[in-house]
Amino acid sequence: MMDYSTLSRIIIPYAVDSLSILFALVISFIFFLYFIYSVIYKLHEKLGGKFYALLMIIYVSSIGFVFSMNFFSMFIFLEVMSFSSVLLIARQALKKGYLESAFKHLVLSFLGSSFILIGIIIIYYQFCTLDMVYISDNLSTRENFTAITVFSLALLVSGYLVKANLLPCNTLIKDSYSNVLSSTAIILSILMNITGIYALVRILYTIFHVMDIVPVNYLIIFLGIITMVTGIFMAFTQYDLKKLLAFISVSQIGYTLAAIGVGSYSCVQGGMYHIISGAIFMALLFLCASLIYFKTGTTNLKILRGIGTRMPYTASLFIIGTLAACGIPPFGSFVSKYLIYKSAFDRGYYIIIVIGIFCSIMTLLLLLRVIELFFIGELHESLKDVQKLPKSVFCLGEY
Amino acid sequence: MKSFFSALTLVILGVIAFYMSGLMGSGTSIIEGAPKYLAINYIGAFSVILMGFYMLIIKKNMIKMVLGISMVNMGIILLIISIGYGSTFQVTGVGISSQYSIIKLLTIIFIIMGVCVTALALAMGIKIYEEHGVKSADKARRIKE
Repeated sequence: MMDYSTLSRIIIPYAVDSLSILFALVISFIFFLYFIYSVIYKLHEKLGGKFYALLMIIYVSSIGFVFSMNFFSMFIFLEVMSFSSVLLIARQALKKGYLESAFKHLVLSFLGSSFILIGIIIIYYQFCTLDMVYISDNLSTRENFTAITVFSLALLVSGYLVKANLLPCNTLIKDSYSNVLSSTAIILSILMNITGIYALVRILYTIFHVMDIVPVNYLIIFLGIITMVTGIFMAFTQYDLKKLLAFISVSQIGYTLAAIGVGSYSCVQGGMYHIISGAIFMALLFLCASLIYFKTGTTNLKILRGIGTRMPYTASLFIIGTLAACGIPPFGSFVSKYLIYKSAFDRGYYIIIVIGIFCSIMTLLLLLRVIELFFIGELHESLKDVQKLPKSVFCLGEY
Repeated sequence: MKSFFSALTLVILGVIAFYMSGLMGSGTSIIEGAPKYLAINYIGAFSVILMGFYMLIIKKNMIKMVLGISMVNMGIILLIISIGYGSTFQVTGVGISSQYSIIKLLTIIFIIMGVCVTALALAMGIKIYEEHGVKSADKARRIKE
């Protein structure tokens, strides 16, 4: 019988630890809701049977990505996931004549994956293996930490940031996702954000062990804060409900990124809990927006004036999602934001608390404006014949 | 202005990459028996990758962008091959050279992936050309808005 370090050079191992099982549960939950939604709205009639096949491939590869303990298999799953999401976006974009947004998405995702790949090759040069457990054991002391290791770490982190539409590319989400049809693209963008956060936590905490270095902490906190602020300010300029929600989701991911940067156990706990609560309320808001789209055929906020009187239940669910997004006490996001603020206060990073509360207030302002549009004002002429929704839809709203 | 910043980023990346290839040429692997080769392999591979990035970022013509994608792939495959070449590292008690097998696996899979991405990008470029009648990515966007 061989020991683990010998065996892991030949086989490709998978592991289920508490970090990966959390992300797997969140991803499964989002896909579960989305499959119910797509069956109710008969998306296969609109998009064809290949739509479900691509969605299933994306689901399986994201679960495999989360569970793999080898850089090689992690990269393969990531590439399968991004390639099939590009195909899914391109299929929808082809019908609407927005194919160049899919081209842009492909080029960006290729840039990210080539950065990750060069980082992986340089790690392989240094350790002659791609097994994460072996690399993590060797890097737990600082003596093996050379300039080449730092170079590969920088390539990996920047590659995953590009891939997850975080800091350098978070303004491009408008082009690459929201032009194409509704909810599928948005679910994909949430999925890419979540997998990017998972990869960052896995690389920074459990493989390279760099989070007790103060400059690295400040770097990640800076990235998180910029993501929060740019997300919320870009959302203010949008008149399209889906684009607005996409930018709010980017700014919510910024909270988690800043929480990861603090580097204490309780703060990572808060960040992970914010991913769960964020996934729930953002899914609620996006599904509400999609219901409005399917009934009215538009998401332009100037046309949607007064829609709350025609679709009262959907608008009420939207209010619940709004309150959750701002961290009002009975909802889950209050707990997660409180955890983040408290542990940031303990470590002395006060900037997170200031910017975080500022962004929460801005989110509240933004979504209150949308709700005001929903309930106050004359109904637009094109919305006069909108019917109420069937009862079966509200099983979605009861989680 | 935008292309100036892109070029600046590329130059900085190039300086770092060439410095790193010098370090890699002197051999800092912690495994005994890992290959120590001249930096010229790594300098060549990084040059091809950086040329690909230049075409991908600065050029506006979609066909040239696809060529850039293909070039980055070729550079990455060169990098893998120069790392795997001539290794004496063996897995004890199994009888196969693990390094050779993993390098072969990586190379074949990355060639396939590169061809897939290039083919998809080329197909998209042709479709956009049929739709808008322009080869430039910027002009296609302007027509849309």
